[in-house]
Amino acid sequence: MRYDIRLRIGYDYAPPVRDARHVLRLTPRTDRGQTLEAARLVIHPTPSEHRVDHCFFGNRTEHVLLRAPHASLSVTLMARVGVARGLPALDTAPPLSEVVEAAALSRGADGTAPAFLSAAGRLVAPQADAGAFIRQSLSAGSLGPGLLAAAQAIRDEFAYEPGFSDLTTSVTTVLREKRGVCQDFAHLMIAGLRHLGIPAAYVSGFLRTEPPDGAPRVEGADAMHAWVEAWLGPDLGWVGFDPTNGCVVEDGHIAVAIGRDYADVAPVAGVVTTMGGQAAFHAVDVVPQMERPAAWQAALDPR
Amino acid sequence: MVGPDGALRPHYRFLADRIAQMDNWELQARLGRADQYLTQAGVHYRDAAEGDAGDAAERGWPLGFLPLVLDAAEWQRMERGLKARAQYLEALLADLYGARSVVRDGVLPASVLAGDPEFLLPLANQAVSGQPLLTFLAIDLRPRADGGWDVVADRTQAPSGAGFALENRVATGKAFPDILKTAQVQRLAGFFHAFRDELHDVADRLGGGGIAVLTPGPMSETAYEHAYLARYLGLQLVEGGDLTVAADKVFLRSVGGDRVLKVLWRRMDADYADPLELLPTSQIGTPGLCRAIRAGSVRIVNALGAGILESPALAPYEDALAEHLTGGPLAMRMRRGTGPTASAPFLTGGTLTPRALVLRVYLARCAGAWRVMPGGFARIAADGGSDAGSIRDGGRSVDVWVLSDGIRDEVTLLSGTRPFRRQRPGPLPARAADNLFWLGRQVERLDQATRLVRLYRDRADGTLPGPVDAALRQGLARFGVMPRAPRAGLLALAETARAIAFRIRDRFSPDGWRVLSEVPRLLEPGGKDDITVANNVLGRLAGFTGLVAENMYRLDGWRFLQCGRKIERGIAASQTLADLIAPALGDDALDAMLELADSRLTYRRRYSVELWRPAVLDMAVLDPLNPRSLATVAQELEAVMLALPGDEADSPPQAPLARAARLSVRLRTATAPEVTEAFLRRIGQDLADISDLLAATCFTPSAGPDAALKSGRVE
Repeated sequence: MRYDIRLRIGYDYAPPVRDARHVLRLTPRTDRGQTLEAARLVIHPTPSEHRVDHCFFGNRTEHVLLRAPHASLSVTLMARVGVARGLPALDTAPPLSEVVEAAALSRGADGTAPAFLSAAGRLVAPQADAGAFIRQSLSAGSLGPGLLAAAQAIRDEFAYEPGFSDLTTSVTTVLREKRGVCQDFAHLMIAGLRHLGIPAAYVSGFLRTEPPDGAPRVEGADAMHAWVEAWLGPDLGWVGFDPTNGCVVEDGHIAVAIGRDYADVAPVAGVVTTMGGQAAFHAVDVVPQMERPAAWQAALDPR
Repeated sequence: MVGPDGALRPHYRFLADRIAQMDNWELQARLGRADQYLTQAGVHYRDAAEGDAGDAAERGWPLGFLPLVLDAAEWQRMERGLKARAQYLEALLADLYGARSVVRDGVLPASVLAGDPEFLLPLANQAVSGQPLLTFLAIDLRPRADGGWDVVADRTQAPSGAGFALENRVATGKAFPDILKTAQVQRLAGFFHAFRDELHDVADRLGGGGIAVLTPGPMSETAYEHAYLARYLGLQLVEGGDLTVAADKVFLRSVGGDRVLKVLWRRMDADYADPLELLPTSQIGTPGLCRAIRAGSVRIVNALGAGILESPALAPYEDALAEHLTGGPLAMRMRRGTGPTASAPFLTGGTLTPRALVLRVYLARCAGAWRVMPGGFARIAADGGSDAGSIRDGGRSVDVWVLSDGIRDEVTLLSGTRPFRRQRPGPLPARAADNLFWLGRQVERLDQATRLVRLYRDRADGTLPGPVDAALRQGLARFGVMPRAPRAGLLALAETARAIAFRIRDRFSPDGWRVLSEVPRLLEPGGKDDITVANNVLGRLAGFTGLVAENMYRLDGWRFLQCGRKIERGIAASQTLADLIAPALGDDALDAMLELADSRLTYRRRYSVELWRPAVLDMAVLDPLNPRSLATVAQELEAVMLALPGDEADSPPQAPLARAARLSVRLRTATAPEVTEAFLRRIGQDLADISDLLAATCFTPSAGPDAALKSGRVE
C-alpha cells in the first residue's frame, strides 16, 4: 500500500522568540517494510541552518536553527511511502522465558540491539504494576498471541481521552485512571514488557486517516500516532503492536521514529530563547495514493 | 603514615620530630598563618544543602595538618600503577563509545551499558574519530596496612579538588615554609603547566581557537575552584549560556563579536550540557553542543559521557575488561577488601591521632602520555572512628607531600622554554558585560537613594515647607523607598546589587566582593539611627568604588561597569533636580540640590553663603569642574563609551555613542537660564535611551536584571 502524507505542525509565540534550535523527527523510516518514495519538508521561516543526521536508533533527524526573531514556526511534511510489511507470524514466537534469556544474552551493541530498548528511557522505566497488567494476558504458550491479547486488553479496559494526560503523566496514573491517549498506552505497555524482560520500543508514526469501507474508524488518525514494538527473539525480531487500537501493526501503520519512549522520538523538539509562552497546532492527513486530493499532486510528483 | 600497630612510618619522622620541637605558641602561630591566608584569599566551598545564594551556604576551607607524606620510592610505584590504570580507562571508554568490542565479545553484558544513563546515546560513536575522550582524571585511593593502595573510585566525569590541592599547598607553605623547603617536596606547578600546554596544543591541532572552563555557575559546590583554576591557567570562565553553536562550531558570545572556542574544560555533569539532545530541563547547557562534538570541531575535557566509567556496575567486570583491553590484570585495582587499612597522623589539640583517609590523585594526558600530579587532595575523617567521608560531612583536607629523591627534579624547566608574551585579555562574554553594566547601575542607584534618605531624614524635623518635603518624598518613592521606614527599600536595592555581583563574582577581588556583600547586613532593622546607617552604607559603597577604580583591570568589563554608574547617576540626579527646581520651592530646595550634588562646601567657597539660584543650577547641572554635575557625568560617559567595543572590531557602538556625544555637547554649551524642569527630565530620558541602545548593541539578548529570560522547551 502506498500512502501520501501531509503533516503540519506549528507554534505561535508571544512575544516573538529568537535563536531557536530544533530537532525534527518527521520523515518516515525506510526499514520495517517501508520505502520512502518522496519527501519534502518545508519550514517557515526559512532556517538559518538545516542539516540532516541520524540518531542512535537510526531515525532521520533534521537539525534546524532559526536565528532571527519570529512569532511563529510552521513545519510541513509531504511524503509518499510504500508499506509492505505483511502480517507477522505471531504463533512462531518462542515462549516468554526463551525471549527473555535471548535478550539478556544478546551481544548487539548498536541501535537495533534489544539491550538498548530493555532499560529505562528519560520518561519510562520498567515497572512492576505495568508488568503485572501485561502478564495477565500471557499464557504458557507462544508469546506472540499473548502480546496481542495484552494490546487488546488495553484497548478494551482503557478509555481514549485526549486532554487528560500530558508529558508528565506517569504510567502508574494511567493504570489507576484507566484513561489516556496513544502515548500513554504505549508507555504503559513498554513499562510492562520491559519489566518482564521483553525488549520494547516506542514507535511514532502515522495511521491512514479514513478507514477502508466498512471498517471502524481508528483513533489517533488526525494526529501522529504511537505504538509499540516488542522483540520476539532473534528469528522473529521486532513485531509491532498497537495498544490503542488493540491490533498487530500491518500495512495501515507508517513508522516515523523509534526509541525508548516519547522523549527519543518527539516530532519537534526545541530550545528557544523566550520571555513568554507558546501555543501549538498540528494536523495530519494520511491518504492511500489512489484517493489523494488533486491539490497534492503537484507537491509530490517529480517536476 | 600510621600503621595498624600505631607506629609512625619512617619517612614521617622528619616532620613529626620538627613539630615536636615547637612549643605550643609557635605551632599555633604557624597554623594561624595558614588560616589567615585561606580567609584573605576567600577560599571556600558551597554547601549544596543550603539552597540560597547567600553567604550562609559558604563554608571556609577546612585545612588540617599534618600533610600526608609519601616517599619517592613509594610514589614511583604508585605512578606506574596509576598510569597503567589511566591507559586502561582510556581504552575502555574508547571501546564503549566506539566498537563496543567488550560487549560484542561477551566480556561486558550489554545491559550494563544500556542501563546506565551516563551512556549518552547522541554521542554513542564519538570515539570512532580517534580523538581522546579522557584528558584529565582523578583516582581515589585508600592505603592498605601492607603499604599498597586500593582504588576506591575512578573520577572521570569532572573531578574536582585540583585547585583546592594548590591552595592547600600554598596555605601549608605559609605554616611550614622552612620544612617544606628542606624536605624537597615536589612542586605542583609543572603538572599544571604541562596540562595547560596540552590544552593549547589541542586547540592548535583543531585549527586554533579559544579555551574555556565551562562552569555550571556560581551556585555550584566547587564554584570557587572553577574560577581559581581558570585564572591560574589563564583560561576564560564561561557558563553554558555564554556559548552558542553555529555551523557546528562553538562560539563564545562576547562583546565585539563571537569568538570560536576549540577546547572546553567542563566542570558540570554531562547530561546538563545540551538541553536539545540531552537533559531537556537543563538551564545551564548549550543547545547544539552535541552537534559540534560529533562534527569534531571542539574537544571537551573530558568527553560528555565519560562518567560511565564511574559506574559501580563496572567493578565486577574490571579484571575481565583489563584482560581484554590491556592483556593483563591491573596493578592498581578496585578491591572490596576488608583488610586492615593504614591511617594518617592528624594534628588535633597539639597531639597526633590516627585518622582514616582517602587520597585523590590527578592525572593529565600531556603530549600523548599520562602524567601524574606529584601530590593530590587528601580527605581526613572527621573523627577517629569513621571512614574519610566528604568535606561536607565534617572531614578535613590536608596537603600531600611527595618527597623528591633528588634524582628526578619535577620542576620541569622544559615548560619554562616558552618565551614570555603578555597575554592579551580574553574576550568579555556578553552576559558578563551585561551583568557588569547592571551592577554599575544598581550600585549607583543604591548610592543615590541612600543620599536622598540621609538628606530627608536629616530634615525630617517638621521644619521643611510642605512642597519641598513632598518633592523629596517623590524622589524616594521613585527608588521604592518609604520615607518613614527607608531601610526596607534600601535593603531591596542592596540585595539586588549583591545578587548581580554574585553572578560575576569571579571578576572581582575578594575585597571588592566582601565590601559589597556587607552592605545588606548594615541595613538590617534595629540598632542605629537612619542617618548613621546611611553614612555607613555610603562609606562602604565608596570603598567598593575605590576598589573597583584601583584594582579592576582597565578592560571592557570595567568600562561597562562605569557606563552603568554614570548613566544611573545622571538619571537619578536629573530626576531629583527636576523635582526640586520649581522656583516656588525656594531656598530650601536649592540647598537640598547642593547637598545631593555634594557641592555645598564648594559653593560656599566660590559664591558665599547666600543661595543664588543661577549659581546653584550651574554648579549642580553644568559645571564641568564639579565631579557630580550632570555635565561631568555626560562627558565621562562619552569618554568611557569611546573605548567600548561595538559591532565591528576596533570601533565603539555607534548608536549609543552618538547620543552620548550629543548629550555631552548640550550640557557643555547650555547656560543656567536654560535649565528648567523640562530640560532636566529630557536629560533623564536621553540617558535611559542611551542605556537601551547600549544594551541592544552590546548584550544579546538582554532585558535588564529582572527579566525572566529562560530557555523554553518546544514540544
